Amino acid sequence: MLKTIDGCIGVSELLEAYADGALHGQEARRVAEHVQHCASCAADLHAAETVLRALRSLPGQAGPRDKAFWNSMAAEITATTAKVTAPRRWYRGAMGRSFLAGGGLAAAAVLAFVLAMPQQVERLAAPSVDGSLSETVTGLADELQSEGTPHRTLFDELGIPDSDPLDMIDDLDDNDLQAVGAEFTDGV
Amino acid sequence: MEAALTPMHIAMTGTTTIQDDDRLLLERMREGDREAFSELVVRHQRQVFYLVWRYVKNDADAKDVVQAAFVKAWQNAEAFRGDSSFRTWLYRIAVNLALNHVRDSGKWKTAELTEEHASHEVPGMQRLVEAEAAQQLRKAVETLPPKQRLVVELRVHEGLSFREVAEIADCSEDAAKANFHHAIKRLRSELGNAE
Ligand SMILES: [Zn+2]
Repeated sequence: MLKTIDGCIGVSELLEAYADGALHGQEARRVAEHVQHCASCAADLHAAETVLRALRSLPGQAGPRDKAFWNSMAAEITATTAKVTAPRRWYRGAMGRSFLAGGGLAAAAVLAFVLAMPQQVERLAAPSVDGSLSETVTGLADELQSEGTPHRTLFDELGIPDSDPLDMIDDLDDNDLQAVGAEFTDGV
Repeated sequence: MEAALTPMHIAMTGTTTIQDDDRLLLERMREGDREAFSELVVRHQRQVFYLVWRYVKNDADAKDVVQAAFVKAWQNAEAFRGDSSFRTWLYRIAVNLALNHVRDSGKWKTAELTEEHASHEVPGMQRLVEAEAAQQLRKAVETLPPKQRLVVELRVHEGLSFREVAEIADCSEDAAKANFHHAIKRLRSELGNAE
């Protein structure tokens, strides 16, 4: 065991990041100064550099791909996406326009939305829509439900998924969802 | 649509410019602009593919996962508020899908050099030794705890900053550095004090 000096704590766990050139300013200076006097940390730093060099020298496992490969992949992704619904915001846009212009398709989209997620529509529509329009939509929804129209058909016709698209991130845990939905503040 | 698939701005320099452009494209994508989406696909599909490939280990599955990741990004564009880069958000989705895929396929494939590399290798002693060492190291990376592995993949192979790594791994920057520390230490000890 090499001789250690005071101050290893708080430095030793930064050695790898330092070796990888990821530290700056005061943090970097602290590590640099410490390793000049601490043989143990200096040895760890050297070992970290060796491991990192070895990692970087690993061959790219997938190997290179030609232009045709990327073109066809992009085309496939685009084609697949063309078959699925537009981004969620599209609903909002459609909703807003329908209230203003009373467009048929948009109104139906709103209706579908109401049937699926009444709370959401209320929340989304509230700031920009006056009460009477909200009532109209709610009324339409009630009417449709009383006639027993299966709202699945509406969804199918409009190509709108019958669940909140966010639900589709079923493989992300709560933390993930938080980060995707809540952590990112609206900076655009 | 043809034009949208043509790689644009490939020679563009400076991350800021690319991220700013991503931001504009994303804004259009959120309005349902499919051409903007296609441009984002062209820009990011390679890196996402290589990242995913390291988890799933074959072209067909990697393509499926990449495709699913883009579809999710498209469908959930509204959930992205633009505080982080589009790339880190996309990576995050892709890594989750890749991990799921590996879990669902029920087998963690052991590290192997790809056929491409294997077939190109001249069986000289030196190369054989190098290839074995590389395989051993790769295997060590793959058997790291998931978060440590992710940090290594993103940092070493994708060249992301610790801030970006933290965003994708859903932890603080300090935690990302700590994971990196433990990962490298572990690799070092598993490789018998790499010297
Ligand atoms: Zn020390």
